[in-house]
Amino acid sequence: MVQESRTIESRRLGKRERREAMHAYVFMSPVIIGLLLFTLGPVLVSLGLSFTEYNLLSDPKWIGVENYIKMYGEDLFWQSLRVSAIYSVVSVPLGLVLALFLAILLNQKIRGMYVFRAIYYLPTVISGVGVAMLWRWIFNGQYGVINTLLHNIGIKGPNWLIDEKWALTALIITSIWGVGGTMLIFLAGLQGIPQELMEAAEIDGAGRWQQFRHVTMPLISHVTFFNLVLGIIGALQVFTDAYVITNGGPNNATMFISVYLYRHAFIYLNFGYSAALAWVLFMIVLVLTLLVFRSSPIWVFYESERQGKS
Amino acid sequence: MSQEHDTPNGMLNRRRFLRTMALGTAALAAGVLAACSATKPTASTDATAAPAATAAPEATMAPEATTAPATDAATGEAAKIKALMWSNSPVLDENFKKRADLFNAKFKGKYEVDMQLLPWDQYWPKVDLAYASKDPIDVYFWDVQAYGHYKQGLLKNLQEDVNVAADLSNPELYPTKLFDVWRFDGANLFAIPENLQMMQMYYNKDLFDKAGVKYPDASWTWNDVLAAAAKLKVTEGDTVTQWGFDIGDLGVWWGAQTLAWDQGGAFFDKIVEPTKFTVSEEKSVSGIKFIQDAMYVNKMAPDQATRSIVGQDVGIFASGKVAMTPGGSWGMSGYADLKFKWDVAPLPKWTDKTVMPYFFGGWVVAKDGKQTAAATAWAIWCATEYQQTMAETRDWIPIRTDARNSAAFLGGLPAGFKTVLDTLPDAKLGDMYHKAGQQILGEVFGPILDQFWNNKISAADAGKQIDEKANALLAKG
Repeated sequence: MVQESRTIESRRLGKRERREAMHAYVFMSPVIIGLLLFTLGPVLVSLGLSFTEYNLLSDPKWIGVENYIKMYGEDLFWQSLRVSAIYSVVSVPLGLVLALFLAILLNQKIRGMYVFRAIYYLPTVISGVGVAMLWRWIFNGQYGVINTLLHNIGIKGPNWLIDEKWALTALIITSIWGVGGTMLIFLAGLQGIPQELMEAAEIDGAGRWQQFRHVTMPLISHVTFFNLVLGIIGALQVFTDAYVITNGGPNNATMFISVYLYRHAFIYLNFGYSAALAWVLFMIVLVLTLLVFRSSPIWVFYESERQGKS
Repeated sequence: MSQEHDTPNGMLNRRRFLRTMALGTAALAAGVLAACSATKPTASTDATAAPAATAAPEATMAPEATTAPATDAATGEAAKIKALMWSNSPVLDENFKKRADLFNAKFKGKYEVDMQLLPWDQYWPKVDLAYASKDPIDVYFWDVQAYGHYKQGLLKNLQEDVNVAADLSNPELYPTKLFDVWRFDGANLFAIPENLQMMQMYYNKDLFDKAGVKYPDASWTWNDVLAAAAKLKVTEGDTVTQWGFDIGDLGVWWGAQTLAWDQGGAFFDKIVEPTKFTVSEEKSVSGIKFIQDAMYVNKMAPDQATRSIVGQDVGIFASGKVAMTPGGSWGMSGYADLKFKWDVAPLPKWTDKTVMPYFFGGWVVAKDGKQTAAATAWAIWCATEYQQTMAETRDWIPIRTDARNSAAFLGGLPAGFKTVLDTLPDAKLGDMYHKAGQQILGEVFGPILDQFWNNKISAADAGKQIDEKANALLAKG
């Protein structure tokens, strides 16, 4: 009797679970279909196209690895890699340091802090093209804000966007505009640090710098890790600023790989070659991301590890 | 134990669900792809092959009755077509809509055009993607990118339609000699021109009057320009506050080429399918050197860095700080509200002649469009019946000679424009038509001229580098 009752209960439970599972999958299905059709599908198609000569107007023609071989011999491809690498190496650490610095400032308990936080985050939500146009003005050789400020302290500013020595620097400075998003994540990390740890460090005689170095930094290392991965991916894919502000010039000084890729796809209609470039970019991003992941046990500290050890 | 093993027998599990979804999606994707590729392109898929239309011109039939019925046979309704143009300005865009309304009123019940305008950077991707999806835009505005469509055999051969609309072949009514360069195969028109653009010298009359300098005219040489610029240049201390001359569109490859043309040279051997670049030849080098010297040796024109500063807000001529500059005729509409008096003159001569670059605006018809007759009718109507209205709006320079020379058109333009039009018979098309044309301009001319205009390399070096790299790209095919 008891056994029978349990069986009925189990069957009832099964039905309910089944219904709930069905609902869950129905709700998930738009995302999964979208992912398969509009992300995974195009990704696989682009891999296929990278082995073809395809100009959009006629059928793709299989050429094997010719696009990849061609890339190896193209000076402009190497120049675009160089530009993207320099930009990433400078802008990612710069952005992280600045974002962390701002997050620490905005983590203080003073009146009106929410206003300051909103002000620093606001630039992040403004449209990319609009911001790029704004920076063109900021970098104007004569009327621009930057050169006006430099002039006021007796320095003759360069023609940022015309001079090939300065154009990439200008775009690196521009990247600071989006630091608000990274800052917000750091801020969340800082607010998650237990206050008692800071107090304990203080009682043990740790100064501000030591607290920061030995308590704050380890406890937000997972946040730093997250921001670093996103920063690397974002820096290697930067497009809008380079396209709108300098369009790859002057003399290819800002020819980012994404701009080079775009030109081949939509200006020269070399979609096969462009797909090959996209895959090379993807592999670079993947390798760098994996390297960061592999290095994480050395420098990233997780709360769960602390609990496990104690 | 994984969750799926705990699932009661018969229950929808995660793996099964995902498998079903993947299979379903794959089937859906396959269906979509199959539908997309259902219509095999009729064009040659070999980019290097001659376009089909070159070898075998289409049947010679009248535009309204041949390639498609005049009305939609299935419904008996007007044949609807999409016409695409890039956006220029609110006024010009509005006039394109009005033009479509006029056409629709004229052909009510027979044809109906849906005029669409897109920003320039979205225009060609839209046209190309429409071809890729086998649903081409019926009729769209020409620019050099459309030459690639011709090369793929995607454009309708419009020669027979032009023959039927006899006016378009009449040299009394149209500058038919100028059309020849658009006969890419040497015999047939694949685009119907409807307007012209050209290059001219803009000058600020107020600044000339103030300096007591005679206005430029058709007799001027480029050396006269430099001599006048010296009188028009104003400095305060070390700072130049007014320039006599700015290189303007001489800083674009087709503008710079005019100085080689004036001497009998050119940057490449032929406009359609060039086989050799010749920028390193003496006439080309002396032409571009003149422009570089005007900025850095004679210092009669602002250098590249100064130009970007002076011109960033409203444009260099509109700033009122430059007395004269060569530029395209399309600039005139934007100068209508300037606060100073201005006029135009023909481009100066090198020594004894000037060769002005001109550009066609016109329509191409997709060969595999659903309503080619209606699309062709639109293109021809724009080039014929609409010409007088075009003259009255003064948006564009009409291709039809009487409209272009009409009082309605010239009356609202600067007085000197007629003298510019008088140089049209000797003008040359300022384009280059080649499959690799965009890449040559983007990867060769662009960066090398960047260095040249910034005085980093000499004219001879610039010419040599351009020839080497551009000829290498031509050789790749």
